[in-house]
Parts: sequence; structure tokens; C-alpha cells
Amino acid sequence: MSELEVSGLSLRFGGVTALREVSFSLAKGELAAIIGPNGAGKTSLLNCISGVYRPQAGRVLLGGCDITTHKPHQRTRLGLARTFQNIALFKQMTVLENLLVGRHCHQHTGLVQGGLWVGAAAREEEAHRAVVEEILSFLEIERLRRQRVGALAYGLQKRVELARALALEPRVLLLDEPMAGMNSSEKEDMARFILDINEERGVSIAMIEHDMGVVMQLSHRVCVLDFGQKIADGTPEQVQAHPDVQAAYLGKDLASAPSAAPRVA
Amino acid sequence: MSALATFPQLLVRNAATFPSGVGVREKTHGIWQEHSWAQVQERVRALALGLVAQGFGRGGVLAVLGDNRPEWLFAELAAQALGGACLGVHPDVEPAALGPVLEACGATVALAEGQEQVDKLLACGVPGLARIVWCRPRGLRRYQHPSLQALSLLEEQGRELHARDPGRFAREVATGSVDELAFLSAGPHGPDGGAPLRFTYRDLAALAAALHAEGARGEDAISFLPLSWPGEQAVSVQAALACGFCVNFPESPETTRADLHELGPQLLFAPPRLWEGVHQWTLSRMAAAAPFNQWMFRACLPIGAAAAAAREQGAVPPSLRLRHLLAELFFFWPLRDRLGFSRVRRASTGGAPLAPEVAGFLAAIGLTVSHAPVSAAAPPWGE
Repeated sequence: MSELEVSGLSLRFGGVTALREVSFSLAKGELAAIIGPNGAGKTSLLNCISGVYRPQAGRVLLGGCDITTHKPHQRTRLGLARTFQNIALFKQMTVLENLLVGRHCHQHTGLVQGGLWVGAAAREEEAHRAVVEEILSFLEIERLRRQRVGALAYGLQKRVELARALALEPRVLLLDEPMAGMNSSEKEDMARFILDINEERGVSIAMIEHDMGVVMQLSHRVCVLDFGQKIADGTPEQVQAHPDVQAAYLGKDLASAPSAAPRVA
Repeated sequence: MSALATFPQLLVRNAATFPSGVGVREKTHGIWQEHSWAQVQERVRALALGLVAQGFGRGGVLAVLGDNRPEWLFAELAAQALGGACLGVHPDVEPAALGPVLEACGATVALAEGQEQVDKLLACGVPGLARIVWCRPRGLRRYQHPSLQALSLLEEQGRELHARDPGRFAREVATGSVDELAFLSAGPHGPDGGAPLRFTYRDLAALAAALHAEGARGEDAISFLPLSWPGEQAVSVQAALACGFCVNFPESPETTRADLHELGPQLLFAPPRLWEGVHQWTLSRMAAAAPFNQWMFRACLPIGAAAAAAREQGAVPPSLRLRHLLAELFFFWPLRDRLGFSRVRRASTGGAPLAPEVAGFLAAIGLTVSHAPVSAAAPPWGE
């Protein structure tokens, strides 16, 4: 059974169709990439999965459970985590505090107990801290523990955001352009961390990424969107050879084979 | 209480005389984790007997590659317990330089910290290197090479052997002698640019004598420099074992300053680089401080300098004594605490002497840093 199953998803903003009948699935332990030209609907798809947008048609299943009408925080509790294209961290808080916020969905003691800091609340926070420390060391950012996020370099902020998503202990992780704006050595580090998260922690990952080198090397499967429609889905080799993909990226005239499928404007 | 003996003999003595004293402390997962002398001995024994199971014995050489961590020390002591020697390789060594060094020293087993060092060892392809043991599993899950083994597995084998033959470790340790080869140092420091330096236990004891660390039992020191340096061996292995003080390993090289502040060690055997860094750091922080703090700094520093100069002459005059007391109370003590020097009893620098302005600054804030010339073979404290 797939970890994440999206079927027949359609999303419209007024007269603009952002997604049309998109289906996409992510098997357990799979690392899939979602690619496509600008405005193809990649982030809209991620937003529908994580609950930021409510699609007009279609269903989203997480681990066999229908979450189409769930609120984002309910999806989080079921094991869905994501990062954002533009970093969305609490800039005035430290790295450690940001990660502990990520543990919020696993917190069981309430406001009163937590405020009084007695019994179960203290024990619980210790356990959360242990999980967070393990993630800090996994992503090699122990040294940043007490630093304010706003003062960190961009590449490190991206890593902290990934760490916070991991703090949720998700079964499915959605990454929106994890390597955007990074230099090549930062990209290399990030690629290694994504692979390790996938292989050592067994998290299924769907990521949007524009760096084709990274996409083709890391992903088990690539899904291509263009103008809100899925035009290809397969192994990196299959997708690279697909005539529609070549047309979408290079233009029809430059692609070696003419497109057979009708194009939606 | 410092007697001339091999490192494993000193360890066995420490584990017998003060078993629950802290021998090694390491910061991981944000917490200082302690190993008592008895626990250190248990780890070393497990590792040593694990090496016996691998066919390692008297005259053998174990290479260690990686940043400072307790396992580095444990592996060294394990090899030495069997009458072998440890080859400390600088962690930044290039694979091309690594092969010849391993071959020249006849290393048969290597301990690698993680994937990076394993890659180097595999790349240099030395035929005599039969076994590569790793500490951190990160990134190694796909490696299939037959010579690779996890450290935990080696220790497991050692514990089995210990259960069958409980007297083995003690017998091996007892046969060691101080004139045996103990340590080889490979790094960018030798007189002919890279040939390993060789040390017996007697050599390292002579090197450590300059530290005058006697009576430091139960105190704390921080391991600053790569253990492949002879100077770090003199401090963190020879002096620590002989005097019974605890060696603390920072979480990572980048966190050393923060870890130093948390720990407040009594013993500071640090390179000139650290003292210069302290001077620079204080000046730059003061330049950015609030006006009142800047005024305090400007007002107190001359008082501290005058008091230090007067102390050197003999006695501090009464007129200065009160002002110095106030400066000490409101400025120097908090500053030393902030720097992690609140408990320092013995501070020294090795290699080159400190620049006069740095030495003057440290004396003014109330730190007396002596010069310990731990540089018999090479400038072991160098950059």
C-alpha cells in the first residue's frame, strides 16, 4: 500500500486551473521528485497534500487514511511534514527552540501542567529534547543549538527547517525546493542528508526540485507536471527520454519528437 | 604519584585505585557523558581482546584516523595493552600521503572515525591493512568491503574472549615495558616533512614532564589539538593517566569555546592560538559592548596590569590593593567566568612563547600563563 496516494486532484482559482486531474502516489520508502516548468502547479500540489489549499475535486490518502478534508495540523499528527520554498522558521528563536516547536504535535500534557512544570510535563519535555538532540546530531548542526535562527546563513537555515520537519517524526516528508539558492557544496550536503533521511530513517519523501542533476541522481521516481497536468511519471531515465517532457522543457520545435498528447493552455 | 610505566599499566593502576573517578568526559547530544576509570578500563579491555581475536599482538601497529573522541584514546590504549603501538594520523591527511605512511609503519589494523576516513583507507589500498574498524555508522550502510567492521562488534568479540579467559588482559598489560615503541605520529610536522615520529613511553613521559601536572588528580583538562600530535599525547594521554586527571572531549571542534565555558577546567594546556584567540575575542566583544562596559574595561585593565607588574616586583602597594580588589570583584572575575577560566589553577602554553601584548593582557585579567616547552621532537603545538 502506498504511503501517500493522490487521485484525480483538481484545483481552480477563479478561472485559472492550477491542477487538473492529477494523480500521484508515493510508495513506502520511496524518494520521488516532482518537476516541471515555472507555474506548472508543483507547489499547488504540495499545498493540497499538506492542507494549505482545499482542492475542488480529488482525494488525498495518507497511509490509507482519507485526509482530503483534514486540517493541516491533523495531517501533521498523522505523520505528514513539510518544508517551504521560502524559509518559514521563527527567526527570533534559537535553533533548539524551533525544533522543539516541531515536537508540539507529539505533546500530550496541557497548558496548566506545562506551565507549572510538574511531573509528566517535565519528563515529556526531556524526552522531546532527546529526540531533538538526536536530530541535531543527525544533521550535524549541534554547534548551532543555541544560535538565533535569523543570524544563520541561508544554507544553514534551510537545514534547520529540514530538522524541524524531522522533529515531527513524519512518515511522509514533503520538500519544496530544498536546494534553491544554495551553492554547490551546500547542495552536496543537503543531497546527502536527504538520502540519509530516506534510507536510514525510512521516511518516504516527495520533493520539488529544479536542479536536474540532483533530481536524476537522488530520485527513485520522477513525476512531471506542466500547466497543471501530469505529463510523465517514471524512473529518471524514462522521464528524461519522454517526448512530452522534452517538449515542456525545451519547447516543441527543439524536442526531437512531436508531442502526441493534446496540450492544455 | 606519577610513576614511569606504560599507558595501559597506568590505566590499570587508576582503575584499581580510584575506579569511580571520572577518567574521560565527552559531550554528546548536548550533555557531558562521563566514563569512570573502571569503565575506561572495561572499554579498553574489550577492544584489546577484540584485537587479539583479529590476530593483533606484540609489535603490531594500529592506525587511528579521526577527530578527537574517547574511542580514539581507547583504541590507542588497547593496541598498547597488547604490546603494540598506535599510529596517530592527522585527520586531514590526503589519501595519497596516507598509503606510504601506513606501509612504512606496518599498520595491520586501522580505526576510522566515520565514512570520510574509511573512504581514504579504502582508496589507498594498502595490502597489509587487514582490518578497518569504524566508529560512526553514518553513510556506511552500503559498504560491503570485507575488511570493514564495526567497533561495537570488535568489542563484542573482546568481551566474549574476556569471559573465556579473564586473566588475559592483565597478563598482556604486565609484560609491557617503558622502552617499547608506544606511539607513532604522522602529520604535517616531521623534520623531513611527513616521516612518522616514533616515541617510547619513556620519551612521552619526558615530554609531559614540562607540564608539571602532578597533584592534578580528579581535575579537568580539555583536549584541544589532534591526538596525532605528540604534544597532545603528552597532555591527554601521558599526563592524564600518570596524574589521574580527566580529559574532556568537546562536542565538535567548532563548539570548543562554548564547551570550555561550560566546563571551566582547572588545567589548561593550550596552544598559543587559543590564548591569542581569547585576547582577540575579548577585544572585539568589548568594542561592540555598551558604553558602561567599555568604560569599565578601559578603567580596570590598567589597574590589573599595574597589579600584575607590582606582584612581579614583590608586593602590591596598599593604594593599589583596594582598587584592584574592586576591579577583580566587578570586572575580572566575571570576565574570567565568561571565558571559561573561573576555576583555572594551572595554565600553560606550549611551542612558541606568547606575544608580549597577549601575555600582558592575560596577566592583567588575572591569568598567569606559564610557558611549557613541550617540544622535544617537533613543535607539537604548532598550527
